[in-house]
Amino acid sequence: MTIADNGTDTLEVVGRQDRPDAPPSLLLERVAYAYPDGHQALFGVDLRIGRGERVALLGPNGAGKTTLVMHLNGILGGGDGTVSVGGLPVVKDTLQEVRRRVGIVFQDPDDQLFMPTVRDDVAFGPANLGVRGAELDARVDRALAAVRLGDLADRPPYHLSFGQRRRAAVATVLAMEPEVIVLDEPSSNLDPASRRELAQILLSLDVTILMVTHDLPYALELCPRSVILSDGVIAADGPTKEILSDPDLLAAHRLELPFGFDPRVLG
Amino acid sequence: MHVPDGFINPPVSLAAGVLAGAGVALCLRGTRRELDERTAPLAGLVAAFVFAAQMINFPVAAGTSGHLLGGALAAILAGPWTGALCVAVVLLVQSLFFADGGLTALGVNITDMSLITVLVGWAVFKVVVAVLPRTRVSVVAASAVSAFVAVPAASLGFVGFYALGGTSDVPVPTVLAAMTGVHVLIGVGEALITGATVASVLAVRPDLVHGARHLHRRLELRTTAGDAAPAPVAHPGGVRRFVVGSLLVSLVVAGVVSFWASTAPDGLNKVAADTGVGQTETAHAADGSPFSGYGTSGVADAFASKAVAGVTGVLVTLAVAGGVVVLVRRRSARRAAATTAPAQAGAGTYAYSVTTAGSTAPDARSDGPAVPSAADRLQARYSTQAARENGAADTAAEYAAQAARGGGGAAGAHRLYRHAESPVHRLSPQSKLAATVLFVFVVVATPREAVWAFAVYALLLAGVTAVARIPAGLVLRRMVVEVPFVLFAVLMPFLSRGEQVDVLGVSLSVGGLWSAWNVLAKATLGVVCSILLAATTDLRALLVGLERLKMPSLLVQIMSFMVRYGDVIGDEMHRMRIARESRGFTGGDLRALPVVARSAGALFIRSYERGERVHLAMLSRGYTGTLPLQGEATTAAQWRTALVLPAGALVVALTAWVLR
Ligand SMILES: Nc1ncnc2c1ncn2[C@@H]1O[C@H](COP(=O)(O)OP(=O)(O)O)[C@@H](O)[C@H]1O
Ligand SMILES: [Mg+2]
Repeated sequence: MTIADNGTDTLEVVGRQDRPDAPPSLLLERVAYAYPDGHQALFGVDLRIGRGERVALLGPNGAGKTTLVMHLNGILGGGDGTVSVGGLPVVKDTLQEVRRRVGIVFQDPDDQLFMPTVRDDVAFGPANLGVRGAELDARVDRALAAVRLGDLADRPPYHLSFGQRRRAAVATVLAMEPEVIVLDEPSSNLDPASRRELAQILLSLDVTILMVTHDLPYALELCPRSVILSDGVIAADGPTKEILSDPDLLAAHRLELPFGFDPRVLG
Repeated sequence: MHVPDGFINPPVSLAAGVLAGAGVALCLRGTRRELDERTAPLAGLVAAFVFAAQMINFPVAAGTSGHLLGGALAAILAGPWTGALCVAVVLLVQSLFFADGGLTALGVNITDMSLITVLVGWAVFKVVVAVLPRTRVSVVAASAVSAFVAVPAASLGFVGFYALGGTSDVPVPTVLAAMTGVHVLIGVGEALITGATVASVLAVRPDLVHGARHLHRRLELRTTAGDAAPAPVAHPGGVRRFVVGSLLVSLVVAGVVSFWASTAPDGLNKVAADTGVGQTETAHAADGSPFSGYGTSGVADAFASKAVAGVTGVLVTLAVAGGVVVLVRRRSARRAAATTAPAQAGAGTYAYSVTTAGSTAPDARSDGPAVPSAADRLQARYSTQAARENGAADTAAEYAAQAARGGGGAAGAHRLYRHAESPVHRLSPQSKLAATVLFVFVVVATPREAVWAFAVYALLLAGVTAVARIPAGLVLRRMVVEVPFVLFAVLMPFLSRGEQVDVLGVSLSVGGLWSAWNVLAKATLGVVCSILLAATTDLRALLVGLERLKMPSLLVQIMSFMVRYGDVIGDEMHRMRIARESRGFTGGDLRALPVVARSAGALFIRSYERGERVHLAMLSRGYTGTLPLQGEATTAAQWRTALVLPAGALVVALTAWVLR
């Protein structure tokens, strides 16, 4: 069941208008993929996300969400179908540029933070892009300020709290000044205060956001549009509020609202 | 089997260095076929794994223990070219940073433990796999067999170098008997661990076993549109060509090996007597020239004739074996017709189990300072701290085993790097590396009779230690890594023949005494030099230095992954040890071996999956294979300062040569 499609009607909700002819930030066509061990995770995904949109990618465990995310910057690929980012097809020759445009915040911040200090870690991405010296320092400071971690810059990442580590992971991506930020389950394992801080940071950013989550209230809070991925295909696509108001649809894809939460009574 | 400085004479060491260099260069070329963006970290992980596994000492027989060499395992997991590079990187790191294995002996060590084990291991593996049916069990069996053969082969390689350029007078047959005897036993342990590791990786992540690629089925994709697309699976090509090639390789290797293996000790004795090796020995004792003692043309002749006989024998054997292969293939082809369907289903359906959730508990690192870092634990092998805290253990090997099991408790309380503000610390890593290598070469090339020269070298190093503000006690404690060679050196005067001298009523060989002195003095100076390098330069800086000294970037990359994965593996080892011990496992004797073997496989997968995610995160941020390490160029003044040490040593060495 598909509720709505191309998402153009959600653009104004975000309040950022682009030239109508601008290529979509993310365009996936018939993306299918099997892992080398033979397990097939994606069965032909079509998805189009316009510039400046904030979209939630919902789906049960094992639906293929992480696998899909890995396709967005060419870490996985070679299956069927095509991915393009801002009009640029993701192929071997464009990988470096694609990875500059698409920043991924992984599920586990410990996978993302591996340098001796937070500052080194945030500098890792831009340094790979060839940024050096004062410009590199400026970028790192900007990114750390955006996630409010400026005063922890010289500490080792594993001495931070979990919420701080997740924010540091966001900073590592921000420092690359991407056009699209993809977050894999950003609210998992966060306490309510950290969850709210992260939401404020994400809302303050002027980029296209694709947020993988099964935290439905979080999706409603941050993303005007939602997409359900189930068994490796897109099962629904539409305004978040409508999707969350359809109990049958949610149940069919093993998604559950927290007890007592009713999207219809909210704004 | 890590050969120290001064054990093999300089010409043979150099020749081995050239051989190893050529081998590594060849591997670098070959690796391009095996590695891509996604598999590069696998190489680093395999290296880190071999490094860690070499710390797991297992008991061989009363009093001795052996450690994994890992060549066969590396080849089977990462492919032969990459596997050889991995082990070479491990050896380089060990000798540079951990003073384990001499810098001048690096060529010998790489040839033995990397090139020979991988070559022999992979050749045996391919042959066994070709003979057995195409199943996973066959791959596991082939892994075990190849590991079992590779270890004694490496020890034969060592004996070969010893025969050509050993600086001691211990008769070759004695060394041969001791080495092969011990290494056949070590081979059993190696076979078990290799087989178990490959089996458990195959069960969970068959895509990580290079040697099992022929088991992959071609996959089809079902898209929602219902049409089919080819799956992104690397397909093995030219397996047959490979089998033929490796048969040829094994022929050559077997020819050489069979020479050594088929020569009974008394046979070699005879060769030695016939060709005058025995007669030159007395003169040899007095003649300390590093360039003497290997001009045994008679031996060369004998070698040639023996080798011819060996190769002939092997050809016959191979013809028989080849016939068997053909027969088996034909038979199994006929049988396959009947059993194809179930067999293929079995080989094709791999279960993927997500083992990562447990291993990545989000708070795993939150107790950071309490858990000794993996680097610390790795270094525990080389620290006496462990020794002091484990009074019960009485050999270095046992300390190592305990450290590996984490038995040291706070064993890794100190890191190799010792931070201080000193002129030595401030020198660029590349100039320090160069100075270290040059110094050790000069030391090894010094005539052993010039006792005073070694005293001057020791003074020079003492000076460096003082300038670098490294406590002398620290250097002394870390020298425990030498213990195995001290034991060996102590035996030399008893085992050597030639002129004898009575010391307190015990008859000792004069040549043996000189040899013992030679090895001890040179190895000790080499070890101290490496200790100083590691104490004044952190690992990351050393990587930058190596890169700046134009080491091939793939090697630097494998090395930096290895350093990173060292931590990952250490963490996983720590968690697994806690899990094991909280269920009452103590370990320590032969019965522990199966547990260690099974743990090894689980450790590999857990570390790999964690490392894989880290790597993906790195790729996502534009990582292209070179870490953006910011090293500075070395100033001329720095070079001058750094080279004072080897230059001073050179003056001493030249004086020693002139005064002889
Ligand atoms: N490296 C891998 N090899 C094989 N199968 C995998 C691998 N990673 C994930 N899978 C499988 O692919 C499917 C989709 O996984 P994933 O994209 O991680 O799901 P999600 O993120 O939606 O929970 C799952 O069935 C999972 O078991
Ligand atoms: Mg996921």
